Amino acid sequence: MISAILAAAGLAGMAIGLSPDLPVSYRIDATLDTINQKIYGSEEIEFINPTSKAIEKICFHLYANAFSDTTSVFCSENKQVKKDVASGNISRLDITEIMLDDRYVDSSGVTVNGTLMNIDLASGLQPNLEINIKLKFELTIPRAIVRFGRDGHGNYLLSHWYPILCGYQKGHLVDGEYHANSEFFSNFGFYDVTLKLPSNFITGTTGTLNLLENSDSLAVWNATADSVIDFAFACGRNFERFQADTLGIGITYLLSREKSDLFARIDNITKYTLGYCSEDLFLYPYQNFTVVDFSPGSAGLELPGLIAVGIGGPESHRTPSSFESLIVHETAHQWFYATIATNEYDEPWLDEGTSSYYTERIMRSRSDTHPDFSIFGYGIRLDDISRIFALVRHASYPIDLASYEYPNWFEYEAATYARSSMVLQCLQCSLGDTAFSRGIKAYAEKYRFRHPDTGDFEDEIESSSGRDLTEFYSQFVSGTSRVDYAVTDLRSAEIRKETGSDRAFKITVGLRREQDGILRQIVTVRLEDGSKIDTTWDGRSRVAEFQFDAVSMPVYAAIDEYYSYPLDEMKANDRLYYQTHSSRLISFDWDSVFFIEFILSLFL
Amino acid sequence: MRKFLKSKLLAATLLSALLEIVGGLLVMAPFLIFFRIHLEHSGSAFKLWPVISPDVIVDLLINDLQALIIYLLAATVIYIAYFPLKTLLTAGIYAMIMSKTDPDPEIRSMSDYLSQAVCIWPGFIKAALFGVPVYIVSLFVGIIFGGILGHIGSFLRPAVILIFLLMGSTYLQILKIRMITSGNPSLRNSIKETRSHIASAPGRIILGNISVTAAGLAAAFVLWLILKWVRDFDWNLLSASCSLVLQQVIVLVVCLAQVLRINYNHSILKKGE
Repeated sequence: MISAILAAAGLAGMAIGLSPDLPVSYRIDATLDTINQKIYGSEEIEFINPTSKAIEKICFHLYANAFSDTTSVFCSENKQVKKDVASGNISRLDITEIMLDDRYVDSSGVTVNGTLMNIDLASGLQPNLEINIKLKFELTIPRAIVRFGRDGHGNYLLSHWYPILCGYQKGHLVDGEYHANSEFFSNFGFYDVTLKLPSNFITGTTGTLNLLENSDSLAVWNATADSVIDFAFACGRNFERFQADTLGIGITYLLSREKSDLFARIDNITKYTLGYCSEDLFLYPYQNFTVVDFSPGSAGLELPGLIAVGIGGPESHRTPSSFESLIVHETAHQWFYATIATNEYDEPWLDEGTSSYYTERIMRSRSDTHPDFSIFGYGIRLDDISRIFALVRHASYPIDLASYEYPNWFEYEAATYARSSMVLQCLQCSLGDTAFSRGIKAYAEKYRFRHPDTGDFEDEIESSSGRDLTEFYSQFVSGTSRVDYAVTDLRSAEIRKETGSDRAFKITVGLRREQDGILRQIVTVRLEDGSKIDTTWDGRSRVAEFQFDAVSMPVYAAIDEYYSYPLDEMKANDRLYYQTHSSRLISFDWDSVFFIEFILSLFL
Repeated sequence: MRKFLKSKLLAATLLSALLEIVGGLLVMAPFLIFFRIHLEHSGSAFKLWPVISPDVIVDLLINDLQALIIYLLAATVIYIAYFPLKTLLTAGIYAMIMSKTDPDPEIRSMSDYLSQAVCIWPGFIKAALFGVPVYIVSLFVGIIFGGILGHIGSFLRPAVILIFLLMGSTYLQILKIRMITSGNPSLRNSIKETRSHIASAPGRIILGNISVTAAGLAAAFVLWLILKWVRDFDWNLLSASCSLVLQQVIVLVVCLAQVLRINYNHSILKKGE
């Protein structure tokens, strides 16, 4: 049967640009029990060995078991979750029946270890051969915990809720335990999911959703999704459903009733992001996209064809772009995770870093000079926050580590989100906008519906740009080099001319590389007559001195004049003025004094 | 003008504003030196107007976090060193506000006020230290009531917190006023002796202080709007000078409101005697 499905899916996939080869298909039948907070499900999987060797076991992720008790790896790494689980908010994915090719598997052939379940294959599965796996399972749904659960208003987000096969990347099984920092990896598959839900529930899923039956108490839905790496759904009685479309994509919004007045803003930013990435990378490949307003124990969550974003309380309405940047980030994951399905577990920077890079790029293209966040009227841009986050610890860890290799959440987030995004911005600056955009587009097109790794990314950018980037990668991807260049000296001497009346000056600019990171730099001298002189410095030596002949006095000398390298740890020393700014500083002195004066005056 | 300056309330306002300028300059001194060294020739000097740019703050947080902590400690030490002098002069200002006529026939010069203040000074230091738990309790109670009333309207949450902080401040003023009127620097005595006064006119105390504070804050807010408008212009000597003057006028208005509150609370206490 799978051959027929795959043939159909493959042909259909070829026609609409989806993955031509799917090693797995899922048929899931699930019933949501809102009284006992459980899902009872059965699952039929047809799996083809995608490797070139026989495989001895079938491996499943049972992600929900990370919250079954406090001894899990996840709980040992996250005290907050451990506390939550200890208080009784548990989740568990129990497998009640297993059949392989219609033969029952007894418990001796099954090993459940934490969030992983291995089923031994007595005779192995040869390459390109198919096996049929049937499972029955029972999921205990927790109150919203990390990335899934139910909220206090009767809404549910069900992600990573069923037994999902561990994925293969380049022939290797990725069967990692669910860590506090790690996310997910699986292969593309075809999903046919039947959901039995209370009839008054509003529903949204990955893929295309159809209502099959609707009685007084129960609604039966069917969802199909082609070439997706996972299947998720959200449902609940407190959602309000909105529909929209753009670029032929049907967009469904499930918003909490009290947030429905924000629909226009949410719709606007969603469409903008889908359009931006479709133009910059490749057209969003699915027919449907769902945005769910749900706080899944984290700010946002990406899933194939569906994102969950915590819109926040009423007070966040006044914070411009606070949830908009989240929507942009999670939507960008539809490319960097859902379709260019990198390994989030072993190389999280490839999807989080690229999505963060696109978030900043999209927000910048949209909001221009407007701040992304506002604290008591003081505007802060997303890249400022990223810069603090990424640089305050001075590149403690490389960005290409596996998620579980970072010692804590802060280091993980700083490296994989903020610093990775900044590394990509520096790469863009080094290569130039055109070459970088060409490279990232070529990478995206080549690896859509595939599972590239860091080497693939690096090779594609290198070959597209025609530049040897070995040093850049070793410094900033696999290395922890820091960047700080400074203009340390600016002198000008008037030259006496024998003939002619024009004045002439010899301008000397001193530069210093303060850290180990090496980046090519443009040195600029702005002159009083409005002109400028540029030259390039390879940035290798610790100190350098440049001399320029000019017909006017200098105003300032700058290195990286427009602050294009966000990895540069200090902007204040990037530009040195010939004159001092005493009056500006005196003015600032009084501003600072006023601040203290005002506070002191409140306590007479 | 001379007569105007002879007004005890105005003189007290000017003196307290002067006290705050000195305090501000002293506390900020380490930061200002630091900024001067860092920014004198830097392009970041252009990022300080109309408000300090996040770029500059990010630079400091990334590169000079430890130095900032040291400067913060230095500023705290400087403030602690300045604190006794400030308390002494504050006692003098209280004595001036509470003097009988304008000017007080018995106390004619600043040195007279100060010599009166020297006797009360230990009490003012105790009251200032007592202010720490008073403000913490006020804040705590304000947050609780603000949280409850915040359900009615979100503006009520900060308003209620501010009102409770104001009540804390008013109580401290009443204690200090009592020390001056009794000539006794004992905090314990002041607490005991003011109980009945406060109990006899709580409504008037609360309403009066809220009214004066609201009027002062409204005036300061209008000035702040003008200040914001001025600072929306590009930086130049004129806009910088106007900004400086407006800032000092705002401080002056706040000080005037404080002086009026002290005067009002004094009159309430006098009526209760």
